Amino acid sequence: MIRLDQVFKYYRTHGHTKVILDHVSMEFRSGNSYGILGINGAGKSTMMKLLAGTEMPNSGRVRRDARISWPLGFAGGLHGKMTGRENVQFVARVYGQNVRRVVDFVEDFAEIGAYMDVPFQHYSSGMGQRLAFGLSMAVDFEVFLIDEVTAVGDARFQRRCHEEFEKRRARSDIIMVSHAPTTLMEYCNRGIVLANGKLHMFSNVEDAVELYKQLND
Amino acid sequence: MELSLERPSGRPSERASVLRRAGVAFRVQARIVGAVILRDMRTRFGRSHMSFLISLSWPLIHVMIIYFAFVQVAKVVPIGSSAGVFIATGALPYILVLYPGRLLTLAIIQNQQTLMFPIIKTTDLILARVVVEFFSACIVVLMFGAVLTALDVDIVPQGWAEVAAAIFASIYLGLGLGVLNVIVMTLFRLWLVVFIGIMALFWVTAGATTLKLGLSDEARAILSYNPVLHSVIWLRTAYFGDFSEIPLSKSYILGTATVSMFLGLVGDRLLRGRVLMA
Repeated sequence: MIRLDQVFKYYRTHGHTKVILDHVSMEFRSGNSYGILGINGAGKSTMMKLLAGTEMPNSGRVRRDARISWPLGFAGGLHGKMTGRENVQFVARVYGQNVRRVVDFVEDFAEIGAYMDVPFQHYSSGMGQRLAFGLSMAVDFEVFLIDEVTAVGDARFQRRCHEEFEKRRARSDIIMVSHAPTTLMEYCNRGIVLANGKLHMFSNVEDAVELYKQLND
Repeated sequence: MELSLERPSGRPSERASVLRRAGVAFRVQARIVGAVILRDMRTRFGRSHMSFLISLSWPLIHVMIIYFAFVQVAKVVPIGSSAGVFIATGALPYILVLYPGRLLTLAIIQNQQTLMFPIIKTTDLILARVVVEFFSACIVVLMFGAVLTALDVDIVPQGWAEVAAAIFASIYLGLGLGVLNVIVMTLFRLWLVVFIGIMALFWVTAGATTLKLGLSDEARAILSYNPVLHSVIWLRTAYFGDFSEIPLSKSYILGTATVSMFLGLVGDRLLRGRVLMA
């Protein structure tokens, strides 16, 4: 479903070169959900962007054979001057979804009432997260990318997020970045540790957590 | 019925024909470009419903200012009998190159956040802006023509086909330069200033307000590198026949536009990583 082929990715910051992936080849197979661990600054979020295609490798290729989401609940792509409704309509059109169905779903899910017709820049962070999470749930993806966030809002809304996400999990795979081993174990059946530009794949999350703990010691 | 959700990618299925895949890819790209066009028109100048009309008014006001300023001071014109037709045929090609070229420059920068959605590529943003600028330029031409007609300027040419060809060639030149500008601009933020400087030089040497007939052959040879000068001559030949400051080269206009657009699209493909990071 997603294949990394000799992917090399680095950043130059203040004259220092930081290697994120050092000629890595790996396959993320459909039917599996992957939990990615790594110490702070290892490049987990950059790797998620590479998988999504919103960032490019310096060399090598990332091949995608699946419908991949933007990072779950991420609101960075929404335009501040457009209303929530307009933003939702735009995303629905881009992904070829039934616009009315998506708008109705997000309106019902996010529970922000009349704020659907208010420019997004006037939303509180909570309202923005609700809208963004609902939008992520409204489009059918084969692979959900999750960077830490699995739920937003108060306890009742978090329950709704989990319920809705469980429905998606039944037919979608997950690639998740988290510092919380219990969260990864709940959602993923395979573990990956990103360290020193290499990806270490494990057939279960527990073994990946062990290596992660050693790296943190 | 839900449309195809994702761009076809990865290794092609053995069963799927190349043509079928190309058809799906085209439909998906058209869908994305269409959505980006609507968003671009809606957001370019704040969130007003008048946003697109404001963007149209800029080039129209610009060309009208040039027109009125010239007809106020011009006592005689180098060719023809109408100061209005002379300046209109000089200023319009310049405006049709300047505005698409300038506004395309911001195609990625103004829509950068849409790239957070994995399905949207930089090429989609460029194509969307090309479509918007093409139709904007056409509307500006029609509105300018309507204003001149209302002012009782005789804008009937010797041949409408030649007028249309000259106008579309000018727009094509603007779009071609603009596509190249998009890539240069995302890598070099001061490029817009440089481009406006180049366009100012093109304006001065385009013969829009005065012909360059008195210049030496060497000077005219240098001026012949200005594609806007050729655009102006092309439009004027439709009104004044073969008056020729320099030999008109239609292929130079079309070639400059095509090469610029090609370089821009190749640059988008090769430098996409840097463009995304810009």
